[in-house]
Amino acid sequence: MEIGRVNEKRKEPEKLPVNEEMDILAPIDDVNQIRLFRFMGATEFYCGYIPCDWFEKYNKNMKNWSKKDLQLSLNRREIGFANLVSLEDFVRVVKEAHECGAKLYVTINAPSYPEINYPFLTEYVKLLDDCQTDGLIVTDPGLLQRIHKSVKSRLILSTCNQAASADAVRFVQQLGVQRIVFPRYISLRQMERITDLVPDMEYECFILEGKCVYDDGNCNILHSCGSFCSERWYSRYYDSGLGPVQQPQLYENEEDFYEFTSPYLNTRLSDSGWRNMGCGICSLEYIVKNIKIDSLKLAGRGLDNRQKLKNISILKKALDLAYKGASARELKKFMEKYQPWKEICNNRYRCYFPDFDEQESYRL
Amino acid sequence: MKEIAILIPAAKWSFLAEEYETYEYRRDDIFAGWMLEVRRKVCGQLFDEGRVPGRIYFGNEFCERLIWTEAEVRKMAELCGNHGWKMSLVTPYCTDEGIGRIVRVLEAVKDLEPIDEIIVNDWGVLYRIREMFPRYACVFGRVLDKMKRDPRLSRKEYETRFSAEGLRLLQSPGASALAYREFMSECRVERLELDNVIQGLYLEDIRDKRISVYAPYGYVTNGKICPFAGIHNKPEEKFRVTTKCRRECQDYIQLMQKSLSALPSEQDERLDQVRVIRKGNTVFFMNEDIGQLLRDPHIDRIVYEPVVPM
Repeated sequence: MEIGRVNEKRKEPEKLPVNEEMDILAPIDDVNQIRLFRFMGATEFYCGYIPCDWFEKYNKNMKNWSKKDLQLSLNRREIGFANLVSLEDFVRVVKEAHECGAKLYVTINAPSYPEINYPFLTEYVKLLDDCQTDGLIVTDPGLLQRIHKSVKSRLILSTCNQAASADAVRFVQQLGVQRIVFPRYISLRQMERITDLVPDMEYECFILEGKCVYDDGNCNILHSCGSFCSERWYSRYYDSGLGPVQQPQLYENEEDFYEFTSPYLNTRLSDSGWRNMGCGICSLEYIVKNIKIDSLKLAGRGLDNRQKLKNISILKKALDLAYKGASARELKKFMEKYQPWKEICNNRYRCYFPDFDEQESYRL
Repeated sequence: MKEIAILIPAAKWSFLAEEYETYEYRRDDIFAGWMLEVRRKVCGQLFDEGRVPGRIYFGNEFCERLIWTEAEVRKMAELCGNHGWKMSLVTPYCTDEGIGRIVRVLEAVKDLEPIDEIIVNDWGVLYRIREMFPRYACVFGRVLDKMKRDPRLSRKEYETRFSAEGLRLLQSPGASALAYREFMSECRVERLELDNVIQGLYLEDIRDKRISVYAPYGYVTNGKICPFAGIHNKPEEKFRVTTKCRRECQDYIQLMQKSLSALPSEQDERLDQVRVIRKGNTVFFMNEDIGQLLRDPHIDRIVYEPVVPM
């Protein structure tokens, strides 16, 4: 080792930003949200639209359904009011989005559609296409197979399809997919690798809200029966030969997992707070410099307006900081004023990309 | 005649290829006893009439950290060869890293005779195998089937709580759609696999593809975050996609129980106990009713799971 080199900081090669301008994709569930959200900084929108005949056919005894959980939803959001339900509203939403210079995407992302759904789906997709929807967010490869040669709307692969490798992206590219929504659980390095290997694709990743515990596409419970992930169970542990195991650490670990699943479950905050149900703000530094992400997704169809507005506002400010060169440490500091429970940020339980500082140059 | 396959989820269970019927868990308490009772009933129905397995499934569908090694595959292939069994290699949902591992092993074992099928549970794995190993038949594994599998309702509750069309939707796999089967054909895939869901299976529409069904375990939910990985870590070092694991899932089983089914109900048919099993990153249910699997002519293979498939 050369004398005098020991304490010299190793300089990282200067990397030019790969992302000059990412879209902010916001959820909407009300016709009056478009202009307001656009003003706050959203540049793309997505929504669900479920016509009444779907409700009537696939949901039993659903009077006043708009206030209830759906038994069986047309898309992955099972809360009635998280979806638009009138065609008039839907047409207006598309029109307003376009007048504001934004795109509007529609979720048709139930994990699968059996044959009995297809007479409805055929008409429904044609309607969305005729309404000049900009993109359809789809999970089921059968539906992609059916529509990819005929629709004018762009096809977006839903996060429920769990595309977590470059090969999976290449595969769905053959089905006409033009944008990938990355799974909720994927590392920054994996996204970087995929976007490098398959650059001729648009990519979208989650950045705030909605961090489910299990993989969307591989979770098969009925949300209308309550969320499985936050339910409390009576447990016993066994070894693989099924002899009882009494290690306290197993039960402590189970408590940690419940805390990971739903920290401060159902707690509502005042106007000044932010509930942190998923956050990847610190990783914006890494994303801006290294990953070809085209759109940052805010989860939260069905959240109240204040929360949605707060998310858009936070992301817009953070993104502006990241474009100006803010470090992960500075972005974390920026987020601190919104964090009522700093321990959630520190233990990374709600962190979308907890690997953001696992590379030396990005350590906080 | 239905084909019977035995699923061996990991190398340490290799002996079950021969002892699938006689192997007994220890039976130390009532809670575990439920699991053993279900398994015994299924085993009895399946093998009482002289059925014997003709195929071994080797591997797991749920975690890429458990992908078999070359040595493990060779050993299992030798056992299969000795007994005249065919062999299917089971592969999980994967990142690029997992696909790389699968490719490296397949390169090394591609000439082993008994292996004629790969069970794929990920589009990237399918893409790579189709590109590099065209000799294998690919099968759409049960993770690619997205039917609801909620064990918190009894069969009766499924039948009464949903509309007729709703129930049909819940009983029908995605492959009941012609469009899906056209997609399968384009992928050169002729077989799909399902779990034996509580609500029952409606398979009338699927006449041009072959169907396997797993019993007695089905999977409820699965995730990249493994509650078992890093059990002994500090809380802030748990529950990340990058958490290092020591295959704790191979050491522990968590039996989980609730006293009532999920829905408040005035009906008598609700479940008095809901029981599920967590192993590693996956939660499983058990279904002892395999009558339909034995009767339904659309199902031509039953995959028997002697242990929790992880």
